[in-house]
Amino acid sequence: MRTSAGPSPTHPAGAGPSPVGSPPAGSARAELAQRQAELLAALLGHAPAPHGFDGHRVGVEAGALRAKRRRVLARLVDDEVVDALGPRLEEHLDRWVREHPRRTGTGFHDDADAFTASLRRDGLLPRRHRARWPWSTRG
Amino acid sequence: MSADGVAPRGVGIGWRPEIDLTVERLPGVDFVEVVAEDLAPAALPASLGVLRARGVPVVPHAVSCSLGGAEPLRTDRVDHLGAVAEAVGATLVSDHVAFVRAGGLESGHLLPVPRTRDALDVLVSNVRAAQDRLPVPLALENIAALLEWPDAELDEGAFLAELCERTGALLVLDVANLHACAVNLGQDPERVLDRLPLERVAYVHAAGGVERDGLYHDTHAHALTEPVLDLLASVCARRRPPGVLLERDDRYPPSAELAAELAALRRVHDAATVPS
Repeated sequence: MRTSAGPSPTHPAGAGPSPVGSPPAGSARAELAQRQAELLAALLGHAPAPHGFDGHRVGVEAGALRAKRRRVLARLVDDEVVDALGPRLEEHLDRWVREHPRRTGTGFHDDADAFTASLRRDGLLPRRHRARWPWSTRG
Repeated sequence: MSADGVAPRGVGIGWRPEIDLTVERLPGVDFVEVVAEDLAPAALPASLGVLRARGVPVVPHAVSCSLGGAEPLRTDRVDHLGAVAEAVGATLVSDHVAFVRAGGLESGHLLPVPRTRDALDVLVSNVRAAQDRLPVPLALENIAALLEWPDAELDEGAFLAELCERTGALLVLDVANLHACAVNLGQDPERVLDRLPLERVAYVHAAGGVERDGLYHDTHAHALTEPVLDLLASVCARRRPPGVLLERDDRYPPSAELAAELAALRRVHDAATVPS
């Protein structure tokens, strides 16, 4: 489990986080950061509910987080994806959100692009064809 | 600091691209709120230009500053909110008492912070850092929670009151979220209201939700319910807020239904006495 933010390799240059100073190790802030990371890990399905939290509620909230991310992705993906997957879209979205937590520095559009790219890699989307104009000299 | 100088007045609605024309055509929209993360300051949707030309104030509302988060504050998110504020001529911006990132991962959803002094210190530090960068005052919204941290040291009202006291921040008081916490956490909304500095409330949020298996889900996808309208009335009876905003994010109903909900909010708001 990661415990520090660090710059994300996908974050565009010139738009970095400019943090207000990383908390000194052992400080109250660092301890809170650790506890928040543990709760989020549980909510993302990577870890059990931390001590003192209601496990049932953590499960319900985890479901709400997944549902929200699926809804956002379903709205953002191209029609190509919706058409290709049909009723199986939800199942693929659910697998995606469970297996690929969204990293800091990536937005919902990046998430949708990455999901689409993974479907293409898995052969679930038709191959993309270059537009062929009638007057093109290329084959 | 009182909210009265910068707060939007009257009854408003959340502007969403899916209902942009509806919002433009709805009668009696006194102000709108926009989700800052959905906007590029240099390329605002034409619909917002139409509203601004009509003199309708626009309030940018962020969801990703993670002011309650203990990771280093993402100043790029704060700066984006500030840029949207400048682009729309806002007098005020808002975000939430929540965190949305930890351990390098995003929740994509507003999560509650512990109600401890240590967490309050982090929140105060982040809010002050954000205020230093923002061109306009910042208002903070209370969130709906399904779960809460163990070992709370302060109740919700005291936590928010001290946050305002130490930072000078304003409040976006979400009565649907107060109701959600009442159902889900047994939190007494009237006790929260007893403690809040109501003169700091810039505007109230009202939204619909749904109860499932004994838990209330703040969906913003259902009609307003009586308990939420009753809480709005309670707030207005204590101190009439400058503005009240209807939030709807999904399952958009016909515009007549939205108009009826705005009218319901206006009836409650108008019935209250304007503070002198």
